[in-house]
Amino acid sequence: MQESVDAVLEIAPPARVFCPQCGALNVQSPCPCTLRRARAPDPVADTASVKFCLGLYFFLLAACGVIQVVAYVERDVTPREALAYDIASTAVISLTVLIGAATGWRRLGAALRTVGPPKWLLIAPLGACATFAFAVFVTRWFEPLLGKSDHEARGVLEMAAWGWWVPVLLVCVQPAVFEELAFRGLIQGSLANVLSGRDAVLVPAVMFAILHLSPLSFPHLLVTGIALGLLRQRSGSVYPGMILHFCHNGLVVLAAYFTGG
Amino acid sequence: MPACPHCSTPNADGSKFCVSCGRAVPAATRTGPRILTDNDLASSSAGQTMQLAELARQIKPAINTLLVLGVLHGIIGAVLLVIFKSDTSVDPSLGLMGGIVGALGAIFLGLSFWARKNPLPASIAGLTIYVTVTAIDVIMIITSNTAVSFGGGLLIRAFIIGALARAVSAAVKHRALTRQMAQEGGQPMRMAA
Repeated sequence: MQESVDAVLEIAPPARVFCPQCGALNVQSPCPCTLRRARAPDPVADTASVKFCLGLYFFLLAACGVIQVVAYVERDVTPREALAYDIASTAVISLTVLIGAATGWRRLGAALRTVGPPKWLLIAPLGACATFAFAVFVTRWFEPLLGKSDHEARGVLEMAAWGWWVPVLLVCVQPAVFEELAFRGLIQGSLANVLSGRDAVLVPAVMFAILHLSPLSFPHLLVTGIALGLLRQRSGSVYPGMILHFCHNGLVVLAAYFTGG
Repeated sequence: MPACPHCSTPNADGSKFCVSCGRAVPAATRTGPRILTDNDLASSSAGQTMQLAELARQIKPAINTLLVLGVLHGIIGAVLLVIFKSDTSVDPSLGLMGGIVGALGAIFLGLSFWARKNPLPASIAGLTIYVTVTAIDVIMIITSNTAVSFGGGLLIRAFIIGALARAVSAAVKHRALTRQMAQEGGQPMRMAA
């Protein structure tokens, strides 16, 4: 009897199991269609990412617009009032970014938790020299059209009248930290889920360049934005970009110190 | 737990195919056509083709708008530059304005052609650039104290911004659907130019 059972088992065909979702025969467990479904595009999440980016950008644009209009309305002010205005406008931009960071923390967390490979931290200051040189080149190129403009240098020197820590804080540290959090942290972090690698660098760079509301600065700000975006993409962290941004703006302050005084 | 009508094997709820015989389980299929809500993606080949065509139709006005903006800005910029070059008595800032408007025209033209190949990044960039340019115009009107009535212009601007925003929304779904079709091994339809 036992022999006949063994014989039956030996000649019995192997069990045929079909995937209940795709109907594929004898697939390994789990079926590859499960993995495909897990990776399926999610238009709801993609739409939320794009809405978040555009929402943050338009809030920042509104803040910058109000700051520009108030600066025009309150243009005849004492130096103390001008400093108070600079601090207030910096605080408004910072607060807007902080609110954006609080609402979109999960888009930012990974880029803040990692520092990235050390080589990018070393490359960042060199990149700042290159972007600053390009900015100088573009500004010189526009000089025949506009005449020599010392507007930026004058602004830095007016701040420096209260001590050099003021322009270092307002021109170097604040933009480096908060603009990078906004554009490379939140916006690029969100768009990286929706756009391909090259587009995820280019679109935040365009936003970064045009939000400065200065058409003549657009070319060099676009190049700086692309450099910052590439650093964020390659290193996976916002810190190398912060270093590049800090060094770039630091060179602007140094140039004002040596040429505008 | 529906039983297979072909071999009577019980199958788990939600099964589309019988685990034993591999044939379709009719109880799991719907009797009528599937109605797609706003964020759904079509699953059948015919549905995907129809949905892609509809999304492309929604994106097309933005492509045309960017093209028209590019051409108009280009023409205005060229006219300003010609006036600046031909008449030495005009304000020097006219030449600068002509250059900026012309460059803006080139940017919009570039975005229009980019949107044909890759609508999502181009429409996001187009929307942000156009809204920012509008904001700069408003700031310039306020700060130059010019009594300009731009009620009609405002309506046109709102229409353009609406077309670009709609294109962004459609382009997100267009991209998701194209990726889904690529994952399923189908040939995604190209954006209709």
